[in-house]
Amino acid sequence: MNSIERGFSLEIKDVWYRYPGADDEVIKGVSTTVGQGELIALTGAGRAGKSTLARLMAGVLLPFSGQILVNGLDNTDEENREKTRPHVGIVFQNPDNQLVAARVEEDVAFGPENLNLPSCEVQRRVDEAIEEVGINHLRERPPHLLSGGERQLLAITGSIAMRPSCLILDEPTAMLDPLNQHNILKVLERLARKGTTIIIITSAWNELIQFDRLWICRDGKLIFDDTPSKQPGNLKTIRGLGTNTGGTAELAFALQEQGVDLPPEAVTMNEMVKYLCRALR
Amino acid sequence: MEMTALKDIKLNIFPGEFLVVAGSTGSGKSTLVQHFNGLLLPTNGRVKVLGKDTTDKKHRNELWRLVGMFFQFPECQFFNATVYDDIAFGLRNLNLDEKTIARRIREALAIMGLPDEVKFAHPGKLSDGTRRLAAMAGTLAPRPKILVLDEPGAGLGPKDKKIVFDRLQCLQKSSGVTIILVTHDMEDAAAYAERVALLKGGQLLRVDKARHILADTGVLREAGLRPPYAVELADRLRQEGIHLPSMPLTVADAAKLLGSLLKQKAGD
Amino acid sequence: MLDGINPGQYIPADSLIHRMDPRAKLIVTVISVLAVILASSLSALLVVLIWSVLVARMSGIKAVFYWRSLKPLWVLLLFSFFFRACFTPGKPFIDTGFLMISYEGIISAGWLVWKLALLVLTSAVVTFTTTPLQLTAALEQMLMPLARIGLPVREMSMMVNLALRFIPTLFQETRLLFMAQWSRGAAFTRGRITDRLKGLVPFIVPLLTNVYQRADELALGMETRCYRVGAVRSRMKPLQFKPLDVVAVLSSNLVLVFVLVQRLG
Repeated sequence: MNSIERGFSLEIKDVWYRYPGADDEVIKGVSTTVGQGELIALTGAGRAGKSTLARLMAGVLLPFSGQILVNGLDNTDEENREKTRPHVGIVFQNPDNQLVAARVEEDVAFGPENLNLPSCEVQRRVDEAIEEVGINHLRERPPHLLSGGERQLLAITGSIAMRPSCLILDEPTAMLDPLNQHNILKVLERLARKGTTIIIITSAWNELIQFDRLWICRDGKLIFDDTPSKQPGNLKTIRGLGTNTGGTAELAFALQEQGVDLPPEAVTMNEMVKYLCRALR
Repeated sequence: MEMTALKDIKLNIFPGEFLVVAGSTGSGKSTLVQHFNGLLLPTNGRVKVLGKDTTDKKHRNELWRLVGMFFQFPECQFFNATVYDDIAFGLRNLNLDEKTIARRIREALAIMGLPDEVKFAHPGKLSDGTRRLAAMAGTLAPRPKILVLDEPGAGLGPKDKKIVFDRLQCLQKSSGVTIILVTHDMEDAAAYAERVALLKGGQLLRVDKARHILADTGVLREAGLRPPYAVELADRLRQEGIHLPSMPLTVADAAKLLGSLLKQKAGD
Repeated sequence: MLDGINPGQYIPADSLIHRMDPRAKLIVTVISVLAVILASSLSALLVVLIWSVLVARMSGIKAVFYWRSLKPLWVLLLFSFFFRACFTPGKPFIDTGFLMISYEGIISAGWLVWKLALLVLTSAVVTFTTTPLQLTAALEQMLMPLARIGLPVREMSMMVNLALRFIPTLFQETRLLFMAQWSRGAAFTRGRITDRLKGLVPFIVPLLTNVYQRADELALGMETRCYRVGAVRSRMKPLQFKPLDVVAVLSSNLVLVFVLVQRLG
């Protein structure tokens, strides 16, 4: 994994974007830096520009002003983009439209084949990626007979077979049942531990809280960029966005409204249970 | 290629109730409810809707009107330039005159709590929540007696989702429409269901009052579902030796209970 | 229902034929078809029959499946038999005055049906043992020389692959749309032609809208996975002529040569 050994950096410098034909900018001056192996959650209300920002970072859309540097190479340059593209993978919200082959294994091979890698290398990467995500039992299946969760896993597998330094996922768990949600988060965590940068768009608070770093997007700007539990007020901000804050946060709010003073660290169920035990015994 | 998607299901649904059909992916919950308006016919056994067998041809032709079926992501089914025309689609299939159609559309939008101007809008230009409500108005306009909804909240934010479900509950309480909601989200079940039918692998695991099923973390986990937050929390507290006076189903219940307990403790 | 649709009729098994290079299979099929068509003597036809049955046996697929592939064609076979039998002049075998069937006619019709059945059998071996993906890969490789004169061979094969991937999905989508609009009282099987055509609108419009959106996202998805039109791609499982393939191609050639010698001699 030489790309990872070299380290990875993604720099976003005052990026602006407007969809062709639209009057308003969707992204209004975003700047930030991403390092290797970071686990970042990106959240915000609907139409706040999250998906657009993700596509800009992946080089699918090009900013009309500002720069995006992947490993120091400017993304807006076509030649650079060809070099940087394998480093930044993206999985869209509806993975179904991202699957190109009529068999799972062939789909995973699609990316490495596009890189024109030798056959044995393609085979090795496909085997590794399938192993990593744990979908060996699906190898021979056609994508249209997979469940939503399995398709999502397959799209992720197809991306990591390219061995990206950074993987961006647009609401990968939004449509899934809890078991599949859990599976996907586990896979992503494992990848991050091995050094892949993960940026995941999500609105589920119980997911956000597990990440090292939280971005909140509002009206085309990044209004928050820090560790999730650092700031007591950020729960309030997130709730204000209309995102799914999850049980603990809802409970904390309802209790606060009744005048109960909660410690700011009661953000996960474990911490809430611990606090309640202390307070009620 | 034939597969048995459902097996040996015996289920009575009462008029005017709010029933949640719950199960994980592949449990057969969608397949089950597609029997309710005659889209699917059972290979074995019988489905009786409003007293008559769904295999009765005359009855089946009327079923679509009596049983409103709301599919996941109804956005994908819009084919008209305005919300008005889209809602009118079902009504025109009933051969109603335009005056009645206009009245029914106004009614349906009002029930969903949407302003009348929405009918002039292009469905694609509406916000996610409004669009979902507009699609629901389309299902309501033919005045069904039973409303079947397959994950109507999928892809919506919590705010929009709450509005949609509140509207449905309001409709059930005020006009006596039977509501059958298909979901894997037990928070929704906790907030709205009167009864819950649990499905697993095409079989009926249990059907009972919502408070019995939702408080039973064992049976929910067996069905591959996550218990409601409040129930999980109460369970954890019990393991720590703290027993709540009653089992909260929703976060609001839990907050009320815990709030008074905490205040009591602080007062001691 | 529509979910069960299987493009092609691939039947998985682990046999020598399954393991053959799909290009070799195509070549052997073409040669075998030629041999069947050109076989003119009884011995030639016997050799061709033995060859075909041998290949079918080696495919590891039960005879029932081959029989089933013939079954839908029995009307055609019967029709060709009678047509040929009745319209071949010669010594009368049955003569009703209105209809005359000759000895020559019966023999010639027998030959024809025999040959048609063998052709069906031969092509069934290929479709049973080769996935559509392997077939497009084989065609792509075999047509590659045409890329030099500017024919977009790679792109065409990619298009076929994408079609194989998305046609079942579109079937599913159509089924869902059908259910959704049926549930709203859509009628499209009743009434006059104009009514029926109008009745199609609720299906066609959303279906096309969804297809366009899919195509759009698909293009983006392919781009992010480094696909570039016209670029050279490698293969996870490159096609490789193995000794087995050479033997197969040579044997089929031997059969053809035998048939030709019989014909000329």
